[in-house]
Amino acid sequence: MPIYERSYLSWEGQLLDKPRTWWIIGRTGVRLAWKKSVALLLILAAVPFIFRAGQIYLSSRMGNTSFLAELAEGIQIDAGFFMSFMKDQTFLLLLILIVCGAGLIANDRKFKALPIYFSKPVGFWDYLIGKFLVIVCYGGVITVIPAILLFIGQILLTGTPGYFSRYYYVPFSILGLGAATLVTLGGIMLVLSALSRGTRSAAIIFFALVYIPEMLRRIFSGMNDWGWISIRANILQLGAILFGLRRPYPFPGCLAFLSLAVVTAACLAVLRHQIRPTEVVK
Amino acid sequence: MSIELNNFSVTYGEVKAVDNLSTVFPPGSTGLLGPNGAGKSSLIKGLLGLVPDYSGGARILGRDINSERKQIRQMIGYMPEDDCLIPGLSGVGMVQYAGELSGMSAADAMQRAHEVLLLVGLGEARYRKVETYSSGMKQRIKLAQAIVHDPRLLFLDEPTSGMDPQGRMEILQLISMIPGRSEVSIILATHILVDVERTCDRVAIMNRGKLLKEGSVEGIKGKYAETYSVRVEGNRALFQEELRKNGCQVAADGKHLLDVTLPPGADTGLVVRTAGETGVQLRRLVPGVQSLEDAFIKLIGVDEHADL
Repeated sequence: MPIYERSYLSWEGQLLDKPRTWWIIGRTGVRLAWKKSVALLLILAAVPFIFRAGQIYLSSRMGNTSFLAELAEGIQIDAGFFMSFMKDQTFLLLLILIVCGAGLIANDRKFKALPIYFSKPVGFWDYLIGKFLVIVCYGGVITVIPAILLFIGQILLTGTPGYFSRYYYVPFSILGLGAATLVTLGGIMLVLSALSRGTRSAAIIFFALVYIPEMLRRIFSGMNDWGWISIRANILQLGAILFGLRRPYPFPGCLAFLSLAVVTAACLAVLRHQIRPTEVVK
Repeated sequence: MSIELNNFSVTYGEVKAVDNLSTVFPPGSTGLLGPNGAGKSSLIKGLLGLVPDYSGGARILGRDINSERKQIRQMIGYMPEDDCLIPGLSGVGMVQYAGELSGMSAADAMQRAHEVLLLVGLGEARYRKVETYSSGMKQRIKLAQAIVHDPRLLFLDEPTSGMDPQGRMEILQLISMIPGRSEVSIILATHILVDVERTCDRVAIMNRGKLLKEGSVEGIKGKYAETYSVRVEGNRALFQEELRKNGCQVAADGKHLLDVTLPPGADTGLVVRTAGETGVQLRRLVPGVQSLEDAFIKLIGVDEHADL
């Protein structure tokens, strides 16, 4: 049917004054990022959670009555337990970030979608927060949310206020470490996504950026003072401080925080430069 | 008025793509006409804040482009020149997404997305992923995402580029229909003159970042109505001299043709009489400008000469 046989009709509705475009971008991004591989990774990420939940159950219910008492005695459900869980999830978090994050900006640049976004009432921050929301959603599902659920489970199973009064700070530590991890690693992933037009190269560089400094730190084990060059070491150092544990590396905690802050600021600067509606060739 | 420009410039490094434009585009449909590199797209991108380096002032639909950019973007629709798509979405998903980003509720955006996709002729393909669309379909989906929220001003940048003749005709008919059905003004940037003649009431001719001429399409064509293309055999120099004595402006147009602009009140009889008096044979005497294309070539030619 030729299109001119239909009429253009006005829309009589009312536009929202200030649409929450970041939320719309984030929501759509979460939907688009959902793939079979993401589902598989989420199932994999559930295994450590189930294992830890089992440990909590064992330690709280089997202590006196079962043949598992000896095993249960060895399990300490303290702040270190939750920190350890968060640490174990890091590798899966990296995989999730790659699967969900590598194409977030790269695909928009490849298909030149940015002029469409920025001709709508969408600003740089709306766009960035929307894309970051995708990382927070999938990253949070395998780190922060299960850790909080484990903590709630522990309180429910112990059934005494004593545990909560002793470890009341743990939920905040989980949130703090989760935020630091997601902001830093998510920021790097978004930068790589903005710099490349292919998801594969972004994934490889991401792994290299996270693990090469860590490998260097381990190779030159005598250079533990230089641990702050490793993003992973900085995150663990910061996590230890947040959870009130002994610091795993000899460099100061403030250096870890500073190092992560510098990485985040650098990521923002690059994103600010890369996310623009028109490619300007000078 | 739709757009008011006040010393508006867009620069890319050393290059001034739009050079101190000051003008007003009234409501209705205006064609921005110019060759490649004239600054048409840059003007639109500058007005929408899509390029970083612009200066001067501009108001769109009465709002300042510097302080009220988001409000402006809600009131306008923009169809970019390039193949801009939001990957991963179906046609209806992309148009709904565009509607929501413009401030429509999800339900309204979905309903309207179906309407505009039918309108632009993508009813059958609306559930296909946009990456699989052909060039013509990409043009249509770009138009659909631009009109989904019923904007008051529509910027169309080369809307028919890459389309087959049938599709081009359909899109042009649709574009020309939009202002009649609602209070939508259109700014259409193109280098295809026929597109402007078919769809626009007014035309603004640009070259090298400057506005050469603007006015109604008929007015632009009429400016050159008193100019004639003349060819003679015989003493051409004498003929030219006599015409000048009679108050005509004469310019050589290639080896054989002369562009003769008559003085006010004169008609073609003056040329015929002069030819008789100087003993030359008149082989051709036709209006110099017969279409917008002719006017365009004249204007661009004048501009090129001015720069030499």
